[in-house]
Amino acid sequence: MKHFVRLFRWAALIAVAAAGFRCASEPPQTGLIDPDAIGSDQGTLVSIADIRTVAGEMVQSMSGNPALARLRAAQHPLRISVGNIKQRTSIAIFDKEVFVNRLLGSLNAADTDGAYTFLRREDVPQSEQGGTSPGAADLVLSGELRELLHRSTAEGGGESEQRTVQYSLRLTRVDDSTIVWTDSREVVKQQITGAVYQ
Amino acid sequence: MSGKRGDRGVKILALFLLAGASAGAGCAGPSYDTVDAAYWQGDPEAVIEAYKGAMDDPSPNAPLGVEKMLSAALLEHNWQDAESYAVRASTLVNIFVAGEPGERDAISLFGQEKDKPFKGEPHERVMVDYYLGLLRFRRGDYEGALSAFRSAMNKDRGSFLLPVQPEAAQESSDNVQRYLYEDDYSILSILAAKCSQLLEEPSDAERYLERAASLRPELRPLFNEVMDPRSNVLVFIDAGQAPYKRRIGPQGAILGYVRGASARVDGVRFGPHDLSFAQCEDLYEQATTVGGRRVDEINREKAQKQEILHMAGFAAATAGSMAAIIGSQSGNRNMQTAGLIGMGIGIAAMIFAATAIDPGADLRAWTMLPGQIYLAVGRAEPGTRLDLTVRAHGMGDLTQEWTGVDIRDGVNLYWVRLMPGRRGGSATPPAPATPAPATPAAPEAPPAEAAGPPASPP
Repeated sequence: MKHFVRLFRWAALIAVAAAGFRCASEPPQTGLIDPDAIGSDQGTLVSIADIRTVAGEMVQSMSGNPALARLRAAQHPLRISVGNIKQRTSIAIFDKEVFVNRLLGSLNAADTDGAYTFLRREDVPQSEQGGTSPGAADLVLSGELRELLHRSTAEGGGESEQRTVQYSLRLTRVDDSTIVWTDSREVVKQQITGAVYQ
Repeated sequence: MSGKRGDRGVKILALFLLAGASAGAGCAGPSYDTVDAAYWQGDPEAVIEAYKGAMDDPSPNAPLGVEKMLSAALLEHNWQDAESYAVRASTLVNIFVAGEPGERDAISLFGQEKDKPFKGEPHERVMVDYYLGLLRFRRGDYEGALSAFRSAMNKDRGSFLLPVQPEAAQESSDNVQRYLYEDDYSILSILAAKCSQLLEEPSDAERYLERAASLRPELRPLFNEVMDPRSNVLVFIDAGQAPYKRRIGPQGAILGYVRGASARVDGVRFGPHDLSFAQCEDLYEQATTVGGRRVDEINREKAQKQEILHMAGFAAATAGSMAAIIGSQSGNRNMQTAGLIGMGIGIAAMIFAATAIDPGADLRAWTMLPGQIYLAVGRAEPGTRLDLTVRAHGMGDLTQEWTGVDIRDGVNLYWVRLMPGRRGGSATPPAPATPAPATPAAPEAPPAEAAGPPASPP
């Protein structure tokens, strides 16, 4: 009987331990977070690294464009009005202004000889815009963010979601609405939704 | 001597195991369900106070706390906070990092489904982005709203492997078929249509309108009225209670639903005019028509393994007890000892199976969601103030009347939550007869309702 009691005690302890240990997980991380560490590995949302990459490539594309180079040579500085950049992805928490701000920052940094001047009308109160008519800009910068979503079965019963976000930008001449420069970049990301969420 | 040493060993091991158990006991973090009742008692502040830690909480239940704070902030018409909670909740439910510890635990035999970071079932995920869209629409951010509504639509889509019909089953086949589910929330489509119209994208507006009308053909007249550029009043009414989650199947391995208490809108009046209205969504229907859950299969497999272990333990215990009895009767001490050991192992296996394996479906739920969503549409003169009356019943008379509702230029979006004891109130406090001393700024006034003390917040 003594054996039985001892065995029962052991069994109970093992059971308690199993119940306790099964939910042990990693401790929460604290401290400063590298913004580049967020996003790229977290789902298919837009990360700051995506924005930096795309903005940098767009600036390079603009710099290397011959038509724009001719315009820059003919007129110094070129006045670019920042127009509408549409956010048409289903990424609900993506603030397109983060992209616009980064793009303008990169353009400004690359513009070492003052080839461009940027106009953002929403930064100037309506009452103080009297002297500048919309026609004062030579070019309007506009664009769109769109997406393609593809889903397929992942190993282990989960679902793989592949999201392609297309960033397209264009510079349109105010005088005749001709597109002087346009380019687009795609960023593809993937996330696996595990079987436990299916 | 050896017995004493053995006992000491057991004690040390017990302490170690209990320490491990107690360390593990707190690992899930707060459950964010302790003051849910306060919401239904019209005390959203208590909910926010109790769950406010969820915004910075890395534990698996945090999204649940944030979602409930979102519901509470909506109830008290604190639109600004509600939107920040909605953004946080949307972030949490939209990112999936496969292979996270909690997710791995949920799949493992000794893990539970409730160990996984809470994302909610599809209808709960839809509602996060639905509310985010409404809040953005309300303040005129139609682009952000459209993005949120489209994100919500994505939550109601998917491909599922489900068993084929019995008559189509074949012997040498796995008898599963892939089913593709498209979103079928007409309210998301009509809201996306309205956003597209306001963003001056008529082809998209037409496409979404057709989608909404194809989902609910009987509501086409209402949807057409929504799209009429002269319609400047949209009232969204949350009614009833969320579908209630329960465990069904072997060892509760399958998630089932029970319909929550329902409410029915009988009429919506804005000033002198009755508004057109209809019930657009029933969350119970949405929760139960999205297809089977893969995780139910995982839980079922766990239940089977638990059953097998339990049976094996029972068999070992029975055989051991028989051997012990025979050994005792025949005076064979070795046999008796072996029998007792076998019985002990069997009992241990049974206890282990019962306590360490839990195949139960995850019952964590965003309990503050409505059961039904109504939409009312109409026109009103901008710059005026009117009374908004929603006549409703279910769980008693649920009629609400909000007086002095502001009508602004553009499209006015109002949100009403029906619940017992909530009667409405003054949307704008009466002008003071004499200049009042300066008071701290109140939260941004709701479009229509409660700026004053939440008579029970709208």
